[in-house]
Amino acid sequence: MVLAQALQLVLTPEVLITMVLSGAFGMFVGAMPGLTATMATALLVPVTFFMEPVPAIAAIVTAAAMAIFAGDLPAALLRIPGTPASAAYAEDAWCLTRGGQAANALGALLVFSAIGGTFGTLVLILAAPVLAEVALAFSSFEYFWLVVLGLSCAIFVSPGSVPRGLMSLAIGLAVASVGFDNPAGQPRFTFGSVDLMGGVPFICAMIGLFATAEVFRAVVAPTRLRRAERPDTSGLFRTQWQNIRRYPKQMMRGNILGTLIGALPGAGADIASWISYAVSKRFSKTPERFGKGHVEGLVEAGSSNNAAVSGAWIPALVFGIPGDSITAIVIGVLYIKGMNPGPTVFLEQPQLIYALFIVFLLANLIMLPLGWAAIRLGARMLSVPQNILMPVILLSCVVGAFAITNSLFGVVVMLVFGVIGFAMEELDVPIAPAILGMVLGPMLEKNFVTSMIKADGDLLAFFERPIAAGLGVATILFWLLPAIRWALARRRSAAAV
Amino acid sequence: MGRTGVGSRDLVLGTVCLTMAGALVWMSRDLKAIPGQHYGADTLPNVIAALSAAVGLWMVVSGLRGGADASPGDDELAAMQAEAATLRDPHWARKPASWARLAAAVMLVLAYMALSVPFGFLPAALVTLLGMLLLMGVRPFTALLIAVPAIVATRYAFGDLLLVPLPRTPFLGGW
Amino acid sequence: MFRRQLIAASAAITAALALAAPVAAQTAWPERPIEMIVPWGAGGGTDAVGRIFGQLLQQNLGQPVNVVNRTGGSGVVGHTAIARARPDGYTIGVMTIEIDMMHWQGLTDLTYEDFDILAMVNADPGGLMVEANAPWADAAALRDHIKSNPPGTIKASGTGQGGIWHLNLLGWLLSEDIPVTNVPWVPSEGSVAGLTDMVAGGVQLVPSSLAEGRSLIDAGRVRPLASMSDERQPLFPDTPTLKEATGSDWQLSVWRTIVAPKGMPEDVRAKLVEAIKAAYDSPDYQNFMNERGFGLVWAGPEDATARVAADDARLGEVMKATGLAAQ
Repeated sequence: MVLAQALQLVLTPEVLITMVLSGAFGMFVGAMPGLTATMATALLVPVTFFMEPVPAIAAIVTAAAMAIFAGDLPAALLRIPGTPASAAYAEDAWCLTRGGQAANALGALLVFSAIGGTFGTLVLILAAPVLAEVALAFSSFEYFWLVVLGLSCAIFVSPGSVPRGLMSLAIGLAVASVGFDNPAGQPRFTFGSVDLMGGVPFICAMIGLFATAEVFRAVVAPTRLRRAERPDTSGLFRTQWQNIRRYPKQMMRGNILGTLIGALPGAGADIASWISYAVSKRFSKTPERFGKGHVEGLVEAGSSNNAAVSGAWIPALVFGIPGDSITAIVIGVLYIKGMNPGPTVFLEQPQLIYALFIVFLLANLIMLPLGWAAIRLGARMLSVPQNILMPVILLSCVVGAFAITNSLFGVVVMLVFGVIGFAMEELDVPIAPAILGMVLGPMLEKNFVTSMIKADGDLLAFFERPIAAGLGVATILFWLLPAIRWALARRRSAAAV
Repeated sequence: MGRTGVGSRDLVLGTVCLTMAGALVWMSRDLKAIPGQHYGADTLPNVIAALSAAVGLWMVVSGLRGGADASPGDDELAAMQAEAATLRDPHWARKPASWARLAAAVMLVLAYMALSVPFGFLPAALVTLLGMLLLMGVRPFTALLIAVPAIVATRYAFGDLLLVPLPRTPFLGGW
Repeated sequence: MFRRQLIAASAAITAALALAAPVAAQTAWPERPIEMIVPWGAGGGTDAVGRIFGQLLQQNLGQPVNVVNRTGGSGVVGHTAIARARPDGYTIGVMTIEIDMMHWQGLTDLTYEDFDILAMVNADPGGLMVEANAPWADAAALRDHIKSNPPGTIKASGTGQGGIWHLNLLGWLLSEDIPVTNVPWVPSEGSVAGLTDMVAGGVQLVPSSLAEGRSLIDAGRVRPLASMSDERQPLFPDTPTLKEATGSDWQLSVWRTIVAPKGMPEDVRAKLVEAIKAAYDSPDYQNFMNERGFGLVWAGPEDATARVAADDARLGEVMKATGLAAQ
């Protein structure tokens, strides 16, 4: 009965057309370097003022989902990740594209994004109230361990030597410590600059480290090949059956972990994606192939990324607690449309909530055809000769960086980090850990300092609450796992002899 | 960097880390803990400094030992594969022309910044994009044919579709 | 040869662009899009108010009003950008109460006097919120508990160190003659983060606006004890004012004002104020604010400036008394 009412609300031409249009809009914004999914949703808000509740929410949810997937596109095609989450697996995706397996890489990202998103939505439908209660039990002590776990992953997944990964992480953390927005509220490393009071704008730095550095590499030593092969993107979906059958465990692990981490308002898709990628590598039979064009990590981290995005709706709908700026925007729109988030919305307006769930599911379905079109279109970009593509990329870096801060400060940051990224790459220092350091640095500091204020400086407090203790032990085990495995292998081989 | 020994590069990177650690400690000497607390604005920088110093020492030691930390065979192989995939000239760093081209690219971004304030987006972007295309060896006429539609499209996409204002060009009626 | 082509092509393009450009004529303000600077990030309350205002101003003025987020440094970056813009009516902005705090902290020389305050369009009173099962029946019981127990038994959160709700707490404690060190402050990213932490058992008190706790109050997880306003709030009719609850005279509201850089032409200013008033009175704005639970308050240029100035003095006193002001 309620379900029929909900279907009636959703399956109207108005809602469906709105979803397709806003989906295309989200895809476009997400694929542009420098434009974020948050920006896509914020731009849609004034438009939705004048819409009915269901199409309004549908527009924003679809645009956000598409924009987050679209961040994977430049990652796979040009090694320029659109979001910190896609930076986890950018290297693998790009290597696959380079090796002529673009269809496999992009297909995996698309299909497993849709699967992860759908899984997260199903969990949201079935278990939202229970999971939201768990999420509410998380305080700074628990988040501290989660952040430490995320940072450990950065080292573990980065290819090459451990000290270089650590060096990159230290650079990222140092950059993150600039600014006024720290727990102590003291201006730090700002050198009297008003712009630096706000810290180093993260997206601008990421554009610089990946995209601008890539342009610089092309400039110093132009490729001798004029025209890159246009990657073959036919049979995008066919190969994915094989991936599902080959990596079912990885897919489910990514789905579950992503949903759970996403449901924590203080964590989010970035941490989920990185932890999943690391888990995938740690339990893989072929960890040595990670980072060199291996699809296994794409399956797990890609599922996890979008499952986390869906999971973020759990605390948002049950308690009105936003996990990131996108859910914050949607909560605002829900209020305006009279669907005040909270436990009561499930009782008072069940048909609206079910309509919302159907919209979430549809958004993940629409992702398949829209993503397919975007991939076909995007792959064309690669057939543009490098000497034309690179200047255009530089221009979009400049414009994108400007759009983030709405001032030339963003362009300055982009340029500086372009040079830093170029130098790091040439010296074989991985860039990915620096990105994670920048994202997680502020969270690490905030959760540590606030925990210590609450516990009056007692470090043992990090093990006193049950969930915190569990996470702490898990983190320490994660560090010790190689040693344990090594010991087990030794004993086994000794037994065999 | 051509293919200098792994060891000497570790030495360089280790020194960078140690310098960074020193700079962090020195710059955070005026930062205080939150009143009445043990920790504050100086906590994170000092933790990073410790991490950086440890990593620096690690790399210096392994550099002096001749790069025993990684398996150079694997690294070298991966690097060669990567170079082959992009068909990059692995010896670019020894050619002064490469450095000149890098400097030119940086200058073109700086030119955009300098020009966009008085003249707005269109002229500034035209200079930067044309310059980059020429730098990459595109013929001038082709470059112009690409650059003009590209910047007009960018301006339209950002300014009118996405409502992200770009610097205005006064003599084109604020377009 | 190439050079000749280049010259020909660039001449053609220049001509085309010149033709495409609208004929520059002396038309009345506004003849091109207006920028509205919001010193806080997309997704927040100030951003939402800025965006709906932008939309409504656009209808009234007939030109696009683009919302531009200039974030960071607890608002210093964005407020500076507004004050330094050219006063031609093409840059306006949303100013928040942080302008009355940052100069006392020594973060900037900028004060409210550097702006032309056109209107106050919203104000939300601070409050006192505790966890639903907390043992204190009312604000007086909470006050007595804080007074009679050793420092640190109760910890509070809701903004960064020295943020507006931190000052709200300190102002209240000062008004009740309680030593401010009795309630340590746990910095958080904002009210929602502080409230979530309180429900998780991390802190005991969040002195932020009740509007920000609305969803958790509705969910029965958070209990409001007092509102720091002179009247009860329409959305929370059962919550007493602080004066009713403990007898304290402390009041604090966070507000949002529409401002412009100083020195606008008089005719442009008059038109702008008129358009802002029309936008405020529109049913769209009134509905939006009511649905979101944001407090509707109108004050014209003079009244708004007076309120901003009064808060500046009040917050300055608190910050000097508690050592948060720069020496």
